[in-house]
Amino acid sequence: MKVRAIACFFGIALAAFYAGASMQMETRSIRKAYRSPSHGAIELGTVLEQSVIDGCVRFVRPSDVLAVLYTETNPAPDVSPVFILYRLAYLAYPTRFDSATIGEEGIPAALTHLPRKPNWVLLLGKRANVPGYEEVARFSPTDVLLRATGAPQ
Amino acid sequence: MSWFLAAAGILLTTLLGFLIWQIVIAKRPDVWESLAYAFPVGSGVTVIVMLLLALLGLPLSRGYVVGVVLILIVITGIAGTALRKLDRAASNATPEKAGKGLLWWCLLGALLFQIALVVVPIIQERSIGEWDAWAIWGMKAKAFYVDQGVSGYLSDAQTYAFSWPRRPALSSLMEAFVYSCMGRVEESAARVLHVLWFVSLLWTFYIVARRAMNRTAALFWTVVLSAVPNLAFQGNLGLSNVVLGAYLFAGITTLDRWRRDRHARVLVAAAVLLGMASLCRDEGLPLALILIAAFVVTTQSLRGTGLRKAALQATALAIGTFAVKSLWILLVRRYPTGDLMSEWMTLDIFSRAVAHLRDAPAVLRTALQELAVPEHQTQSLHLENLIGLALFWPAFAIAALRLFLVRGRDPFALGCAVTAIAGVLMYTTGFWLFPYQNLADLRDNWMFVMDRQVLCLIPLATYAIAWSISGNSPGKAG
Repeated sequence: MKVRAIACFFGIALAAFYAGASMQMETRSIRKAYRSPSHGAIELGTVLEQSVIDGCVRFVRPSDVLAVLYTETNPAPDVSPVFILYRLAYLAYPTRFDSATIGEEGIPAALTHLPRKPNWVLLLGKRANVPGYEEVARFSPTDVLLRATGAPQ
Repeated sequence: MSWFLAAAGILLTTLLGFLIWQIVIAKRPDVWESLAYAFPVGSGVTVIVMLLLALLGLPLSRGYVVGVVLILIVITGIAGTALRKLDRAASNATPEKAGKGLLWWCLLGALLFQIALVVVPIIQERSIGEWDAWAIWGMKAKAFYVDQGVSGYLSDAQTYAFSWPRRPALSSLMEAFVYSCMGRVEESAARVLHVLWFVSLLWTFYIVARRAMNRTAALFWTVVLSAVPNLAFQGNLGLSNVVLGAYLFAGITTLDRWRRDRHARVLVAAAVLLGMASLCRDEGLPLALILIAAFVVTTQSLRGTGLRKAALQATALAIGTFAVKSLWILLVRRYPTGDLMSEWMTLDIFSRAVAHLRDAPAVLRTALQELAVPEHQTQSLHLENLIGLALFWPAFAIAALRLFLVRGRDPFALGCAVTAIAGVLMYTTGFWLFPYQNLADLRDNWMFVMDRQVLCLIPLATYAIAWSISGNSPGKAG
């Protein structure tokens, strides 16, 4: 009887907790209202994110390596580097992707931190001339796609 | 043409599942029951075939997979015919031919309408939109299809760390199979695949429920299950929680059949189905083990056969379950995918638990503030809220109480209740110890992820509620 009583207590306590805490239907709308990349809030992205992703997918090929370099203080808060990186990795598979933040040392230093040399670079939140790369697409004043000079068109 | 090929591929796997189930229940052939289990069994076996091909270093191409599935269909067809000739015992699994009243047909209409509501969003938005659905499961499916194997993706696991490469991927492999049949990546086909698992779950639920209650009551509770908001909402997203729920429920219902039949092949089928559940998600294996333990403890096998024999049966089941899971483990160990368990154990579990305790009131406060925002409340239907929030878990609590206290209870329903409670407890413990970065992260864990995780336990909880209320209704079937 004791075991049953304890089990009942647990069952009722947990069920009561989840009746209040899970709030299943409410979370459906809240999920879309918030933009935290860790747990599925972004869905399919904003218009700007979509244009960046579509633009990159149009250019890169399966054998390419694309690096996403982004500033921590992105002036365009509508662009999530994490979302773009993950979504690109999904849509453009098997194209390989690397990412790094652009620190105070600048873009060339960020490029050296990458595990492999990219032939495409996507700059998010900062437009700049990068030695060895040429600009091929501009999605916003601060979001640009660069290609390694001398790489096939 | 590509959609025709996809349908043909799915039909082949379903036919395989149907034939296998006919053999499993050879002494009690019931076409409707075999049809209910056909897709989960067939797709699970197809995934096992794909894992074996990958382990042998063969490509996961359409030709190889379909070829092996066809061979299996021929073998099971011959074996089924031979078994049927050997044993022509009459079926006692089919319920009596009670007439279906108007209410039954109305409920069927409601169920079909609910299923249609799950399908419509796919027509509206063909692509996989939910983050985890594409970033984890869709990513794997696409990679397995593009590479015609698992090596390309798993050998570069570091690049795709966001998609949790070590996670078992039954649904992704099946999606890859459908892509292979079509010859291209078609996300709406992947979503349709998930609807088939959802429908199979409902069908299995009805088949099992009608053994313990009359047809109308069984269909009523099936409609209730189909209308549990988050379950229906996630029935087409491409996530694996509903798939896990389908396999766990199929596993425990097969165990219940074995309790009554005592045929070794039914026990093997239960172990394989639970093994398939363990291939759906990381928590599939612990949940399957919890289910086995709950079943053995709560059913008559413990009293009827003694503790030692029950322990042996549970061990045999657990070994069978793990044998299926080991196919994925063996495959993943070939690649540098990291060791999640060692990372987990080296983190400071105690400090995490304390931090969780400290932050819980703030998270609750934030959550309540968010729920008070009017536009968040108006976007969901009141009926859905009523079923999903106000009624479901309290109803389960009352049902569990009745199942624990009442005499003459159904051991299977009690097993469902115990598994659901233990599963929720397991998830709660896991979340309590899970690392988080900040309050927003913690809030996401509790509010957005937890309600999704417990989805796999909803069918078990619903059965417990159904039996508690309608279990003694007249017209019981054998």
